[in-house]
Amino acid sequence: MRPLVLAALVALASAPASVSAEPIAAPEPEPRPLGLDIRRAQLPNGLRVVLAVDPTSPTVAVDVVYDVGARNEVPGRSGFAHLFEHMMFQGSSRVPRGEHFRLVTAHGGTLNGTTSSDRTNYFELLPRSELPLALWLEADRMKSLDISQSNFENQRQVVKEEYRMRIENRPYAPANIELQATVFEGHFPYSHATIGTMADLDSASLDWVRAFHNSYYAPNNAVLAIAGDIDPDETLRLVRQIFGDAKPVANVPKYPGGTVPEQTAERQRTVNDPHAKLPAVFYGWAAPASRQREHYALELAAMALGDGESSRLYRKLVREQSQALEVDVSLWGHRGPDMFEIDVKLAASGSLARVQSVVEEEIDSLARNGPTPAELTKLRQRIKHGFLFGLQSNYARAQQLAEFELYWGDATLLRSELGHYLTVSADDIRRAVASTLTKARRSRIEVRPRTEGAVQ
Amino acid sequence: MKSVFLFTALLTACGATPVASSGPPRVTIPVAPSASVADPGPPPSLASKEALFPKVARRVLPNGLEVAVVEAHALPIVQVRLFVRAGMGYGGPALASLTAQLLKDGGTRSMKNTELVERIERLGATLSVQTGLDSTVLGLGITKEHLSEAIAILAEMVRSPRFEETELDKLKARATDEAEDSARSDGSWTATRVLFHELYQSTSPYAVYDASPADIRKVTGKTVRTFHRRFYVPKNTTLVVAGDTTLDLAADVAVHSFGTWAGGNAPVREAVPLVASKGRRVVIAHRPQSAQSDVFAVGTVPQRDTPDWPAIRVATQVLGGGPASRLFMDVREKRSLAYQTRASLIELAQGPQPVVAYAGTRTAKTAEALDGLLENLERMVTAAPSEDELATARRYLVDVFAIRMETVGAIADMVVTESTLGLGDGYWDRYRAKLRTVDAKAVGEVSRAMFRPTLIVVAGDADVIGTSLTRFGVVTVVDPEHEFRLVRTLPAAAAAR
Repeated sequence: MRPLVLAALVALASAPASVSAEPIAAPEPEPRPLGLDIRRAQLPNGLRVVLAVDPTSPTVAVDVVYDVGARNEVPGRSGFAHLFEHMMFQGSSRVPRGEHFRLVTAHGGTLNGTTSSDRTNYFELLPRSELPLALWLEADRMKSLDISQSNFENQRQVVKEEYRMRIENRPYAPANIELQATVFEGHFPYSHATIGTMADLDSASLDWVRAFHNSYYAPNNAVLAIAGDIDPDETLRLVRQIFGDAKPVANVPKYPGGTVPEQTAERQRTVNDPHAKLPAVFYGWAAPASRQREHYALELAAMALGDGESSRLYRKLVREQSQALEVDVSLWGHRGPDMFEIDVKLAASGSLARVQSVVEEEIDSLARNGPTPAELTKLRQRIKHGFLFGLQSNYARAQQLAEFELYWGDATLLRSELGHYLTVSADDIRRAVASTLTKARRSRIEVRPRTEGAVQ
Repeated sequence: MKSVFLFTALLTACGATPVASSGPPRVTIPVAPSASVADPGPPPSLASKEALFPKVARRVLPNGLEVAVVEAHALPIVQVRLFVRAGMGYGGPALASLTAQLLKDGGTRSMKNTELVERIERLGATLSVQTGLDSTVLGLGITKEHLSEAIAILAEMVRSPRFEETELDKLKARATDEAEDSARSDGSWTATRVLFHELYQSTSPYAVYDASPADIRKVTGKTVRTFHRRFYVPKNTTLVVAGDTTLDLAADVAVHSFGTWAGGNAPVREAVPLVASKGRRVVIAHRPQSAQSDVFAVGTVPQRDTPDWPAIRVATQVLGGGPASRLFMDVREKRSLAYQTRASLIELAQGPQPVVAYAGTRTAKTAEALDGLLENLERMVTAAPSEDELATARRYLVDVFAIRMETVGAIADMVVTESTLGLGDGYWDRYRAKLRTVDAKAVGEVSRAMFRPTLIVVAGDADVIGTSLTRFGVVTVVDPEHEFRLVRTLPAAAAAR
């Protein structure tokens, strides 16, 4: 069962980010019990900076989040934002190929980068003393990439291996891609998988890499979040020194936006999966963007249905009736249009009709009555718990704050985020389920496993 | 968030210990030729702080139950781990994991099966039940005001289980589905199961990794109860509490909930003899239509308490511990053969320990990827690591612990590891000090012994890759979907390496 991903934390960012000018704004009163000491600033070149001071551990997380992801891709170029992310580790003007990995490791740290529909991030986790190194490495590749055709071909092959690992060799992954395509049909930005297709990866060219970097990888299209055992004044001095000469881009391509066409009848698809042993059924509904009131209510509805072994669907389908092996209910957490998803992997003796009946009964029950008072109390307790435990590490804080700054224009909104969940009422949940999780708006993917000996 | 694609797998560390930024010397930072003289590179490092592993305070109750406490007061939270020295092969296949799951699913004398989970989840927590190779851990994180209630629930689970047959039957059906599912869908799981089966003699508790449907069928209510009586005794159990608490408080709570718990002595551990090696063996766990092969090249290292462990750990790091390692830079970044490639140690409480070089590669390149792994293993034997490689590995291993210790749960898990492996309190700091002294000579000596793999395991499509692997030795093909039965044997090619 997928644990609650620290509240979806995202919604449609139509308004430009408004951040404070230098110097660093005075810290706001310390909230309880999270104790987030957040400072914000912006450099003249547009780079937004978020600092979170916490001396608990002598470590620091440096996280640069760029406002570009798979949703910025166009048909024929799916997967390119992610492929480009790989190229960011292939060398920059002062850091030869391979040195980024070696330098961070050699100074006691780890690093990574991730791409989603909504953004791309790069981070280093290091002892506090090595903060300057992380900033220098990130600034260097923001300012200039050193790429070659051979490096590009190498990374294209590596990404294709990643595709095989994550999609072609993994059961149920193709069905999940099919669900995404079906729910967001007619809205390309969110209807395609971040990793793209093999055909699009094959057609990508080196020229695109340079153009992509020139278009999106600029200080005025990024947020730099630093969390951990830092001195905020010293840190901002270093940020100015190291990132200050990064040149802004005048015309960062605007995300085209758009909406998901309204669905008026159920869509059904079947996926034959050679690596699946058990049948499964995936349901999806288009949902409002994150951080809208209805979205908070839907998140609580997802928890009522599938968070924990005492949740409605898990208890009935897995524990009581032995119809299923796994139940997973979640929202994806997009800043743009989102998806509400229910995945059920059936038991060998399970019945698809019975599973569907239970899923529909529980949705209907929530749509008619909402959660019980005891259930709502439990959901609120688990939300509080999720916030408290989910923001312990430097990286978790840096990433959440960066996304709040990038998507919603103010990292400090994270402080009041828990309150949005705690004010959701049973009636809010009832109404959100009734309006969103209807049969007419539903997409349904059935996974058929390979039968013994069959070749598909 | 599901549509996030990690670029490199986060680095794995064995164990974990605090950071010492003042440890090994700094590594030279090269500057590309194009950089100007006036721009020499990153600003100097800032002041470092020593970070020792927090003190573990222990108290043994009169009945033999050990209470271990780590105080961390930054947040009002507590992580609890009740761990029993009962690994997945202890006492017979599938018993440890099914017994542990039944503690959760089967209810207690005062709580029906679903009530127990409901009570825990009302606290905001999620109860995890995990059976590893040497221990079973019941874990949950809670806010500190619920510590007493949470431990009372755990105590009732392990002391007064119902072990209802109907719930056991449901659990066995689910476990069977999971085992059959893994046998088809998870190449890494099948390869790991073959690894342990091939490496350890059948009498060893490590001969069985996880469980097959046949293993599960043999479990009965009677064998579960017998297992529970034997292993779930205070003298074989430790309660770890980390977070916003004190030893006195946690011990008081433990006395209240566990003080009258009685039981026999801790079971004597069984021996773990290896299967005698008769040259290199290749085993393919057949996975029809596999798009990739999971390739494991397996050797062994001495028992976990060997004084050579720091050198063994540094050697493994140089070979395949993250993106600065030889495997990553060669098999992935140079040869484009894999997205994931690494070297790792599987740590066990006793006996020889497996060391694995791994690559996940497209089916057509399986033999080529195995060549890549073996060539890098051989180079570890013939070419000593450079000073830069050693400094990089040492610094990483010494300093990364502080990053891994950022959460209270990670600290609690490190105490469990320390106890399960019998390392003793203060181990992580002693280990870190020893890592700093590891030199090329020590790494060279351990490399010559540990990087000569005698076992190759590949999870992949045997119909496509079988013949190509005969140049590495005799190939045995097994079928994971039918209890790993032998399918066929292919003789080694004349020019087998």
